[in-house]
Amino acid sequence: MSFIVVMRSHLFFTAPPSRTEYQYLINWDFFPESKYIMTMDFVSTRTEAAPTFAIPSRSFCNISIDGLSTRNYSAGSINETQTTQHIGIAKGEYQASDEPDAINIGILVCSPYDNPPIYLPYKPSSNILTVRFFEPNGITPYTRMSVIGFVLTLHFTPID
Amino acid sequence: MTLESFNIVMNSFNSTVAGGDRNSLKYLINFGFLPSGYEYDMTFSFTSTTSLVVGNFTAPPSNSFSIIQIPELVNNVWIAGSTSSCSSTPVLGVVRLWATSTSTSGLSGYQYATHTDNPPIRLKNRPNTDIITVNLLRVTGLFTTAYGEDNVNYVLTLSFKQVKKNDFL
Repeated sequence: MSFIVVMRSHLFFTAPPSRTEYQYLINWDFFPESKYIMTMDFVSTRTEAAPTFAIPSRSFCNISIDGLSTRNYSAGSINETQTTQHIGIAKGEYQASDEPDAINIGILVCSPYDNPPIYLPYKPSSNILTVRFFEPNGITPYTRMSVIGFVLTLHFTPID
Repeated sequence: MTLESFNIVMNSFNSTVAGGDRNSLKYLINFGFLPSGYEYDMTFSFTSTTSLVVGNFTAPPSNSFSIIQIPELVNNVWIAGSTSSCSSTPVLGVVRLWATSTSTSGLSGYQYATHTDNPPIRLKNRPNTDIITVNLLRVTGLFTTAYGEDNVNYVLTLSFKQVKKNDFL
């Protein structure tokens, strides 16, 4: 039996006006003690202003979640084992163009098959999940979130 | 016993060399977190930023997709060609184009591969390296800088899934 947790941009615990960070409350008592494989899907509303994804810094957004114990690591300029809260990417999908080469309207989206599954050695325990959105560089908040809504769904499958 | 999996996120902004040619970047990592004594199935996902160069993916057509190589990790992919020799290639997989903009002068967009687009690659052991080199190549096998691909950034995520060692091999 698997479990699904849904987080929406219009139902949250706290979020700053920039909407680059959302906090959600959850009680994990309905989860049995187990190891889990987690996948995610994400879809945003259409952006109201253009251009959107023609700008490199808006091409996609990195999604991270604090409050989950994952086995995700990052490689970079330091020869160390570094964990990361990064759980995946939602990419910009072109939807319409009023003028060639000028205006691109789109959404941010990812399916459960786009990003690798994430292994959780324990069931989640934190009652707060903090979701953050970053530009492709992984550092700058994805400020476009202030004008779009979204649904982020996490799928948890217990494994022995 | 549960077979675990691990992911490694590589953002081109965080490579050992800031800026410059993104077609060949190096990343440092300590693989000590991967348990030894297992084989691993390695898969990946990839997303690049959009290129500002209009027509970057239509001129020439060989820019329509890229080949990713990781010489330090991929050593049991074999190449078929014009001779009957047995030689390996460090090809991790291919990433394809997603168009975001069109004009009379061409098509621009970004490149991506989902977690399930390419087949897994079996690693016989935990990687024995501290360096990961990510090479992006055209189908012609040559690096190119003429159309702006060298200036796009990307996030490449490698996934390592444990597999029990086969004692008979």
